[in-house]
Amino acid sequence: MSQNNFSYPYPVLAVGTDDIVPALCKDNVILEPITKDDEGDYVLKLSLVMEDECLNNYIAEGVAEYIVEIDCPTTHYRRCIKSSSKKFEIKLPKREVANRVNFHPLLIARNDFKYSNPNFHEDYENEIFDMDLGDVLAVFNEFHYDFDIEYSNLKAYSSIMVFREAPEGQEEISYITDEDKIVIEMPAKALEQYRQFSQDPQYAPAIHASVVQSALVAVLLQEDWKTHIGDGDYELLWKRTIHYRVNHEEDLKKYRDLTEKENLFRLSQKLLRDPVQRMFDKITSEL
Amino acid sequence: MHTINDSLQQTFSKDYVYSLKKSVKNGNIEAYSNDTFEVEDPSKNIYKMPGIMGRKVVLDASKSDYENAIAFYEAYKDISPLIASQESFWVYLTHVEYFEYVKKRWFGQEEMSVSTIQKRFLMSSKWDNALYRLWWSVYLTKDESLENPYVYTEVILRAKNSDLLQNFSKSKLYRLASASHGILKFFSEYESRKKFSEVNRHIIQYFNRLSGVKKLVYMNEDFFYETAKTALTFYNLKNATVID
Repeated sequence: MSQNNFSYPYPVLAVGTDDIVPALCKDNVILEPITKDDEGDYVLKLSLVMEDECLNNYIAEGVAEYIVEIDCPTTHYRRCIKSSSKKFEIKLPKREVANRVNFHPLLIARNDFKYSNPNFHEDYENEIFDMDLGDVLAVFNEFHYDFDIEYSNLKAYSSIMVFREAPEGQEEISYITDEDKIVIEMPAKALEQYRQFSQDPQYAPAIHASVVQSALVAVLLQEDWKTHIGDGDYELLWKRTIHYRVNHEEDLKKYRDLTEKENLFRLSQKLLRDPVQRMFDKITSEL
Repeated sequence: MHTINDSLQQTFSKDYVYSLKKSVKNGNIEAYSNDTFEVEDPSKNIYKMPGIMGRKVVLDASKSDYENAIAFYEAYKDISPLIASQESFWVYLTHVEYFEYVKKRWFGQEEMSVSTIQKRFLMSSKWDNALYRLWWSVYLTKDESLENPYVYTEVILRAKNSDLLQNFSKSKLYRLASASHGILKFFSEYESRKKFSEVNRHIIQYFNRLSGVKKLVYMNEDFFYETAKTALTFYNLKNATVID
């Protein structure tokens, strides 16, 4: 089996391969939403789906076990959680993880042993493989979790955007897109006015429909969206937040193809909850 | 010897770090010639970190990185990895509390240039920041089970091993305690300087290739120690000369 350009020299159970038949089902990791315990540490519960009888027997005999590899590049947190059970409850200390954390469940050889499986592809029929400690027997779906996405505040534009004073001498509004949040740089006077009016319920809808939406449209249009956002693997928080929303909010899913310019304009309105309509509603209510 | 202050630990605002980076990128580096760094509008750009007491240790650029790393880490060992991953925290320390040390440590060895300032005072690459590299080198290599928990830190920060740090810190294995301890144990016993750079690069690459078929995160310290010896044997066979 080939994974990430490496070929295993023996059959490995995975999705979409016929090394071992039947292959792993597509949804082989069932995740529960992350919660927090009394100390504020994160708790992640997950279950693995693996029905191969022979491999289940190896696990029962103590020859193989499941692991979840956890990797947080930001804080250098790297751990291997082991279990003979398909169910994991993983505790992540709040002081030790940030930004993106990657998880990879696998089935691993606990000892050296002779491996044969009646479900091997016919090319491997009756073959016996010498497995060593640490060899991979099954590969489950990788997934990741973004600890910096403001899940409780997703729909507020502040989850992807901040306002900042422009350098002296700069009199136009400019947008910076290579930071974690989209930065809208405004001359000092305009920034002061923005801060004053954006907090006022009477004017907030007009601010959203003008300053915020035009910034988001401009930024979305100037990005080179070569890939379908559903396939994206983005470094910047604002892109990851939009990616998360587009993949998890039913009314946004139809705009996932960001290579379509028309989708970008519509998506910007939906991400900001139709600010133009909200502005008109507010004006109408004042009449 | 370090002291804990009565006041809270301070840090820069993200916006100020951004403006510093922009300013240095534009070639404004005169401020780095002064004895202290003048922070623009401190009441706006410096803020206190809730719940974290300030601390101070004297670093001496004439001493080794290892000695300074231990002194620095001991002073800041209660800082969480979450805080130690924040760019604004390190940029504050290099510009305010340890400005003199960073200058003495790096401006002697490297020219005062935009590139040096971006590397040592800012974080153009995090492992180049003068203080980040000290704290994290200790955090990732310390072994509390040993009488001297900093044995492996001494190996990675040894002046003549600078390219081992360069190579190893780029590898994901550096972030794995069993790998870090096992591989550095091997290098603690490996005294030869002959083709040292090539040898350590070969060993790290050997592990990277191995990670394609074996889950290294699952393996223990002994495995890494023994495998490093095997990798050296292969290197010697390939090069047909025995490096002792």
